[in-house]
Amino acid sequence: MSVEANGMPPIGTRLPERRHVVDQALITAYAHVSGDMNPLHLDPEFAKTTKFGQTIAHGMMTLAFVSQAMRDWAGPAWDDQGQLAVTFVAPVFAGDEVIVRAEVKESPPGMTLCKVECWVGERLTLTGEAGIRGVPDHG
Amino acid sequence: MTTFRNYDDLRVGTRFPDKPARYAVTADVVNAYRTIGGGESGGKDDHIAPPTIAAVYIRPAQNALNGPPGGIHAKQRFAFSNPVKVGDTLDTTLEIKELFERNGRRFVVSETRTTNQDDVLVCVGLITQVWGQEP
Repeated sequence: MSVEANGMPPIGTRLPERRHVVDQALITAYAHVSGDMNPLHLDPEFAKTTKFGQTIAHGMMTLAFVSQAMRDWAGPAWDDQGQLAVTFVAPVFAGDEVIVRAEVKESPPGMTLCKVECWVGERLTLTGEAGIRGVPDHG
Repeated sequence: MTTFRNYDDLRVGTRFPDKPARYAVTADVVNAYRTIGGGESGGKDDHIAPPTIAAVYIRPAQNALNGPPGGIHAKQRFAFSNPVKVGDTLDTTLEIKELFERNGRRFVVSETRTTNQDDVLVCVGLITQVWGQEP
């Protein structure tokens, strides 16, 4: 992969896509790991009373997908002193396949900023920005 | 019967819980979180938690808000200052920064600050959540 003279990846560099199939078992597992037992994620009868009509994944669970995509590309630099800012645009349901896409948006000194998105088919579910301090391993 | 906090009782500047919510980072949780994210365990860096595990260690502080069920996340911002490792003991406080209504929905904006056992700041978060359904 090409890099600029300062070792930073060029703007527009696309990170490898990651795909995650979400099912109720994964949502339930995340609920137990995180301690977020909101019935919107776990109780189909409760979820029917909401505008979603069925259980949805925790938005924060999709952050774990984004984090892994960043880790795969940036290596330990992602673990160090990064930043993340996202908006949860639409729900993720059991049975959905979430595709994480990211590309380098800016490379200010000492930082690589990536635009990050999660898609389910044509539905954008998450959009935001992830920042990595230092030089990504694979940038 | 569980009782939940009412939105009208929330105030900007209020901190939750009364004392920082403590979270002990275990290998089991880190490995389970990594697996959910699609990662693999077994590497030399396994003891370092994925940064977004912040979503897990701030949860006890969020739970202290005790909102009604059905709330959802609208936005999340994290600034990670120092890596979190297995064996760390983390303290998190949550402070309400903003309360507003839009399109008939009620929002709470909260800041979380998490320090480790050495009193070193590890993460600052900003959560925008849609308040759940009150009876």
